[in-house]
Amino acid sequence: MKSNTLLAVIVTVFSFAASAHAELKIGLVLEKSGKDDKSFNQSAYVGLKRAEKELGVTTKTVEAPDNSAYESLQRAFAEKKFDLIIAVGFHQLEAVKKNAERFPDQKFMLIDEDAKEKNVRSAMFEEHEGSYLIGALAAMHSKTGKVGFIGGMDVPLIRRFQLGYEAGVKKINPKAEVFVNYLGVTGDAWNNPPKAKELALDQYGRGADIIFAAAGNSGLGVFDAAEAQKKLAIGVDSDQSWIKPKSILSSMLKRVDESVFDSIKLLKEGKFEAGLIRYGVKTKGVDYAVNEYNAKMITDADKKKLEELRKDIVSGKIKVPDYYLIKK
Amino acid sequence: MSDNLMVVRTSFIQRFFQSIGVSSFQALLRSLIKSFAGAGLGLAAGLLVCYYAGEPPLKILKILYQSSFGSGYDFGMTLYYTAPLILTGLAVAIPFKAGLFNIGAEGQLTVGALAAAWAGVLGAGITSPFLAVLFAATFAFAAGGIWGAIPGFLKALRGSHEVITTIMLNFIAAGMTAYFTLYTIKDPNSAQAETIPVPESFFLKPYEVFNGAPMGNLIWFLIVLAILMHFWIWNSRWGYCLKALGENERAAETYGITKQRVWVSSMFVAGGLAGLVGLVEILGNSHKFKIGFSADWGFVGIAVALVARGNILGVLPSALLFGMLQKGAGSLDLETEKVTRDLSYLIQGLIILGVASEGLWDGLSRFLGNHLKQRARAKQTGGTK
Amino acid sequence: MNVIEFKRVAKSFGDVVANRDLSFEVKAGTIHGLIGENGAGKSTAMKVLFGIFPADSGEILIRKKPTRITNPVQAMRLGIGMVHQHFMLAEPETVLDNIILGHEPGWFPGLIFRDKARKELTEISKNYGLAFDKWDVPVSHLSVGEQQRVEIIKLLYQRSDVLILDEPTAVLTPQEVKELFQNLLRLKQEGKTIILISHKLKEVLEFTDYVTVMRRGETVGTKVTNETNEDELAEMMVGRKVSFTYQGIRRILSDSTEIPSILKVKGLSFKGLSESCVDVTLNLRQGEILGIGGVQGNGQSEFLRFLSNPKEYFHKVSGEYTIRDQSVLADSPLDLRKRGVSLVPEDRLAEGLLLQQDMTENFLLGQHEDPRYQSKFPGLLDRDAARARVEQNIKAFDIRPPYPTVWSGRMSGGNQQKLVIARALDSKPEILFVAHPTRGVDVGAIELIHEAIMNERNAGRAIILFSSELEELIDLSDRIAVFYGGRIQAEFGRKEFDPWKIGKTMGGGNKE
Repeated sequence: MKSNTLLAVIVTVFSFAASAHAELKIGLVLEKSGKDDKSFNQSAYVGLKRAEKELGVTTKTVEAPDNSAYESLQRAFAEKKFDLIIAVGFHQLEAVKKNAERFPDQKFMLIDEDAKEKNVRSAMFEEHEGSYLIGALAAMHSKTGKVGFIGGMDVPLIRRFQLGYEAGVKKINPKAEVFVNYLGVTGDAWNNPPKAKELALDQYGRGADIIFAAAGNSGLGVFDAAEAQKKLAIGVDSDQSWIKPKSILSSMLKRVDESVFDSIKLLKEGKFEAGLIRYGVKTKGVDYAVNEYNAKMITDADKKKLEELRKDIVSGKIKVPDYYLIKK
Repeated sequence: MSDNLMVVRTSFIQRFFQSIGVSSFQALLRSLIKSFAGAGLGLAAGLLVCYYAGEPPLKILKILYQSSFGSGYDFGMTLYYTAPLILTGLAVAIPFKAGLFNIGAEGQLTVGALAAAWAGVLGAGITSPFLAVLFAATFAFAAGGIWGAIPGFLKALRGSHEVITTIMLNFIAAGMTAYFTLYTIKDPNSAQAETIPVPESFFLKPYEVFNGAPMGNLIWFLIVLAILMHFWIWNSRWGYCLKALGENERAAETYGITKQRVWVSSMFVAGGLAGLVGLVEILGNSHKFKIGFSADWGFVGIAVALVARGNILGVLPSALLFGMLQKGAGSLDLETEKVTRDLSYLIQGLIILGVASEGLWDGLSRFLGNHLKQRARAKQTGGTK
Repeated sequence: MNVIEFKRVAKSFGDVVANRDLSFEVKAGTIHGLIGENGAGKSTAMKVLFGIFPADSGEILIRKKPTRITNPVQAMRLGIGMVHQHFMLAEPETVLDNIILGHEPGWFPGLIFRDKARKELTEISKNYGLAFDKWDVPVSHLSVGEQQRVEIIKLLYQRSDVLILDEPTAVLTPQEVKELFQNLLRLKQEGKTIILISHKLKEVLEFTDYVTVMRRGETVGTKVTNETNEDELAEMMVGRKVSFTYQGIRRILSDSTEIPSILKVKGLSFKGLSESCVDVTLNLRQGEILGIGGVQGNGQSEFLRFLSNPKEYFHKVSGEYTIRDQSVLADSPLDLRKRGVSLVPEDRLAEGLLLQQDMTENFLLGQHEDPRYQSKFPGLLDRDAARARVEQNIKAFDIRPPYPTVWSGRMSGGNQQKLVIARALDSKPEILFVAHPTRGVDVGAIELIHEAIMNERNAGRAIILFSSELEELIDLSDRIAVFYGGRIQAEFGRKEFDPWKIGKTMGGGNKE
């Protein structure tokens, strides 16, 4: 009797193992901030879960305990012969590079940086393009001709947001004034809503009526300020309108989930390709958000103008300044 | 009453232990057993939690072991996590001898690491690896040391409490290093917030056997450094002043120990040691200063010193324990379904609690001791009847 | 009726046995003396009774019932109270608050009915004839004798019937001692039982009903006080015959005025933290002991701190302080050491010892820059050399337990003091500041300490002796200066020594 159950267990285990073998195994290495960061990592996680559900792949997610752990975590996945290892965030660049060399047959995907290795699919988002559209939208809705930008940590990536946003604003209203503030220079800047609120209140006080928050979790403080002052704010990364439906004009979408899902889908179809993939306004990898909450705020005329701009960016008629290129 | 005491003869072995600051072999053993038993108790509690979360304890143990020592790479990574903790553990334990609570190791190591990276920029022409590393080490030690000495000075001059000032200096260090990283020696070829990489002559080569883990000769240097620090604290005049001041400030002052001097010097040494984390990280691992590179080593160093029970030599095993746990945190997340990163932090916390709750241990051993004594007595009286 | 009975009680700390075999009884309504040499285990015995340490074995009967007391709160509930040698009072708080702490009257949490307490305390003070009414004065404003009375009233307020007093007279002037014992006799009349830990045979003989003698952790015996005498008790305590006084001990140097002064203080004034010194002028000659007396809090403590660390006072002091005619106003303690000055501080626990370090480490304190204890390797200390000296001193001063590796915190008060004195004499100083050398120390050790100080004097050292025990000053000093209100109230030559006269100046009276 006992041995029968044991046998049954063994058989089940083996059959599971056998079926698992047929499935694709996807490993996801998240940054320190983890899968509940309401932003970037969460977005990647959502994309992965969607793939699990719709494409029937096996997934395993791991959150790095510190910035030195990426290499060993990716390596552990590689040693377990996962079919694809997805590394989220520019912090993982060097770890991906090293592991890509060490495991030349292993497929990697890196989000937000370009690893330039032949077995790595690098997904980069043209944040400046998306910010440009958002800037234009903000300028269209500003009554005071003054808009704000609140960045999280003062790093090149966020400068890229800022530059695109400013260009977008100036395109619609060359006389417009843009207030810019950064929360700080440490990791804490991503997670400091009270300070963000202070900065936002200050910008509103100086006459801004729309503020774009590219500040991770700290953005919540900006939304609070917008609600309190009955002004508007713009979210970032994922569609954040649901947080304060009446105060959030739109969000600068960065479809990390799409890029993750797409890559897994391609892998399953056998069409996975390494190399740099840019997600710009063309593929709507970066975009402005339209949803049930802001449908009344964003008029058809707005959309028409924004789509024109999109076309011009895609055709090259408008050159959106890119902080990365300027610095070089 | 004195007849009951064991006659203390100073044998060679005892003198050796006295020279490294342990009054006897038994005392060392007792303290080691206490710490390890505490760690065991904490681990057992952690495993119990895992068991209820649905993971068999044996599996957890196996993962922890594999993650720490399973391969050359794993061991190398464990040592990589251990190395900074040795330094920050010392940076907390040494001022603690003088009665100072250094919460600023995080800031000191940040400043030291930036200095090491800067040394690479300034000393780009140095081709001799030995000189290059020495140059960077001097920079890192001096920068961390000065950063550490500031709270010492403030306490000496103004009486400001070092806990407050070191915490404040942590923030200032973060801001200041970020500024220099972004505006002064930023790597123009990188989109990230990091400095210009140090030249190859500054690299500390990792051991082949670690198969890619960034750790080499440095670990030996750190072990020797810890042993030397221990020896120095216990045998030098400086160490004597530290201990005397730490134990009884008024007595030390009455007998001519200048507390201001001890405060500044001990904080300088502590800050310098923390600054040497720059060697581990900049020369050994990433070869550049990245904002936010530290896995809170400065703060974990407080726990390291705590578990070492203020014993300088004890920092070594204690740092290894925390290195293993830090390495294991990711592995547990990866290898199990139920134990997430947060749960592995919980296990860490329980182990610290187990080791640190000295009172609990003393109470327990006293209870057991009394219990055994009573039983023995019961037996004796039973026997005589 | 026996209110307390010890039956074969034993208590050890690690390897050190404090009480080996204690058996004695205390009758209700008596004053019971508990005497013994330092390290005999008197304080430990009482701390066991008070529940601070648990006994290892044996039995304690409280009112005939075997009781295991595990903490002081339980002891207080059983009606046992203790006045510790070092008072347990919160100095900035008022007397009233100190007394009611832990027993605040009132039915509403957080509300204290101070008026009720004040009334009750006035009652207690009247009933027991304690003559005390400064309920709303901060404890720090009280004299030592008054603080002691507060401690006693506190016990009465807690309704203790058994009062343990640990060396209560160590810090009092003769007048205060007299008052204390009058109070204690009154308490006895009211039915209280008092256990008096002391080393002063005279007091014990005068005021107790029974006396239990302890030696080396054991009780030697209990005597009815009326049926015994000083010599018998001393012999029981020490195990041999003891001499009591240094009157007439050889004084090689007479009161000669021809010897030049080695240390001079002239017109010294400063305001310290709690006390001040006003226009103090003193001269110290080689080969003499200058006694400094006075009631605690009249400037002596601060004066001693100034003498031993003038640098700390550099900015607030006026006047002169010279050694061998060189000004030492800017000297640190180590500088003074180099000039041959050595110190036995006032409070050995707070200023003199590292309690969690062994004798060798303690011996090095202040001597850590002495060339004799430096290793050949620069910066290192030669602990072997220090340990060898400690071993010599252990023999010379009969320090117990006789091992250099014993923590000083685990030694009894007297042995700690011997260690502090041995350390002070180690560098063969020419000038010695000695403060309260026998505070909390008993007969056998007192003898030895006094002898050591006398020997130093006879060897030509210049000694300033601070003491609150008049008897000690009179026994040892060549001259006595009395401090009152930060000034030198009077100075007495040896021929003028008279306890009542000196006591009068200590209280602010004039010499004549």
